Amino acid sequence: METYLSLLVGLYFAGSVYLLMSQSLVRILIGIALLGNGVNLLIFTSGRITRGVPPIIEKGAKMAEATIANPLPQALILTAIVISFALFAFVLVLSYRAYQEIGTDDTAKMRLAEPVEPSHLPKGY
Amino acid sequence: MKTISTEGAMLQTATAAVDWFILAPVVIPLVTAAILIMMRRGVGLHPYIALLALGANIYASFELLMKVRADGPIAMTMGNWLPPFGISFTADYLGAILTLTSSLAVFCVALYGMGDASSRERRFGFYPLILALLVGVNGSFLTGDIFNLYVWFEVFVISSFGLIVLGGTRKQLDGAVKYCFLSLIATTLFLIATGYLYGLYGTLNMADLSKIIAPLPFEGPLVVVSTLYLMAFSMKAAAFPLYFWLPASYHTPKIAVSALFAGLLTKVGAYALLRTFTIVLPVAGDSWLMDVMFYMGVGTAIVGALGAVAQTDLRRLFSFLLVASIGFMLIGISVGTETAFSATIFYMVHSVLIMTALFLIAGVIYEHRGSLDLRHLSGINKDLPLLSLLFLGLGFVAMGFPPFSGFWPKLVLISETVKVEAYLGTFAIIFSSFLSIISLGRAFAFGFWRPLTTEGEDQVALAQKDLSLYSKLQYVPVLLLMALVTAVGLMPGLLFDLSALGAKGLVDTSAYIAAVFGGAS
Repeated sequence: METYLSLLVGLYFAGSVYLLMSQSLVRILIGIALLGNGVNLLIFTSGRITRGVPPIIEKGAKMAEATIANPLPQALILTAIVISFALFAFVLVLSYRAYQEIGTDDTAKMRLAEPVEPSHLPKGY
Repeated sequence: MKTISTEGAMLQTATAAVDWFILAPVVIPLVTAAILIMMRRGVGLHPYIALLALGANIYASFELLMKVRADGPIAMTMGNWLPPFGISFTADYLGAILTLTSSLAVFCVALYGMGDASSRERRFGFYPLILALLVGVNGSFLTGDIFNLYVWFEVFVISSFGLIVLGGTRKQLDGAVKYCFLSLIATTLFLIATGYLYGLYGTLNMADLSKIIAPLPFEGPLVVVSTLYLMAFSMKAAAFPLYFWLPASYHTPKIAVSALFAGLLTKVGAYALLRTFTIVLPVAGDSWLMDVMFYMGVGTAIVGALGAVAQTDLRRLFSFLLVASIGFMLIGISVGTETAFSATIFYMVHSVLIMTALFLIAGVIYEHRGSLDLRHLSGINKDLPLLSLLFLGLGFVAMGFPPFSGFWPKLVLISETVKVEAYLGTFAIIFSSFLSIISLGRAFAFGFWRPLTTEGEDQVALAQKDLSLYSKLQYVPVLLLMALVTAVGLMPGLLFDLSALGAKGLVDTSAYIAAVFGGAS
């Protein structure tokens, strides 16, 4: 099972890198979303997969009776999901605002902060 | 029903009140930020409350440093779970020194913000956001858990997102897009590496990882993880060849914001490199990966300084100098001797203070002249001699002239690179400093020494305008930082003693590990 999931993670990363290298902001956004999901799957897989035994401890007991699924990766993923959701929401709005103000979603044309034409100091005074 | 002893896994007694103190540099700004967010109607009070809290924070960080100095590294573990199960907060010298420095820098920025942040910007959360940024930065310095480090990274990253778009002009949005996407990718790489690390060793506690990884050979998946960390953190630190986002964005936000970013954010990246390649992944710190980092450092130092020479905008010039300064830190980390680490820590402290000061003085210049373009700036020396003198002084600090704080760590770094025969590093440090003399010298010659140019006539009118009390107040943080770097430069022994102790803790990790595993009960 881990092998297939690892391959899937690889597929996610490949797709995401392909999209991130694009010039279009929308594609980069999708790339980032894919990357975030790929990472979550990666953490999930690296915690080893156990089927059908949720990490729940009986009331009153202090330890699980049998082998249980590893709860830590789930906690990590939950944290990562919340964070990546918040950041993704922010960059989504930011991209939209930038598109509204600058009028393009082509990163090669977003050159307001770094103008294309070089500026020089005068040679002397 | 079976009863199982939890003695090996959980604390049996409550954590002593003294141990909670390690959290103070994180909790104070966090609580204050929350209060300020609730005070949206009372934005006039924001600066006073924030300054009060930041003052308390400086005091708490100072006390923490003194406590570390007296007792060695201290650790505290959350939620009653013993390490490596619970999240450990661990303050060693390195973390405590940087916490104090960052608290000082944020205090100066908050002081500057009194005159700079309009009430509209305060309503949009200028003060809560700078406090939240400090929460993330201090958390990064003090945490002893690598996943928790990721979370603190995200805390300051999201605060910096909020700050960089304050104002919302077109240029800012353009800069913000680049900054935000690149930060997001860098932190995701960090998370990927952390996921692998967990999969490989089943723990995320730095001290525990250190124990497990130290005897391992540097091969296989460990190489992948280390390389990913190097890439993620050097992207955050703006190291060559991953620095392009920094000069593209740091000159666009409000001046107080860019001063804050320049002072703190890249240094957290450098700190994370120092921490991961000494304590977390000790074997990677002795491997060929350090050669890679060395060449990255050389490239960063030279390319950054070359970029600075080509700029006409004062803030972009400073951004490139900031990139160059990261190069020195990378060289220091990759050289890897205890003395080199010590110089790197010293240089980090210096860099936090001087970069904040440089961007803040750019703000004062802008306040007087309404421009930061060196093609138009002129005649400041005659009109505003104090400002001119301050700029010259800060320039000397940044170039590394004695007796200021930049001189000593550079001197030690140069002697260390000679000692390990890494002459390329020696060359890079000297050449980069030389180029920074040219770029800052040119900035002074054109912006300050040059008589007023004809285009500057409307600037004269502006210069003679009486500045409001708040604008005059903006000199205070710059003078404060100038005094600090001069004091550090005149008495380098104090800081060198501390940073030497910090470096010792990085080379010999036993005290750190003992603090986490022994000091928790």
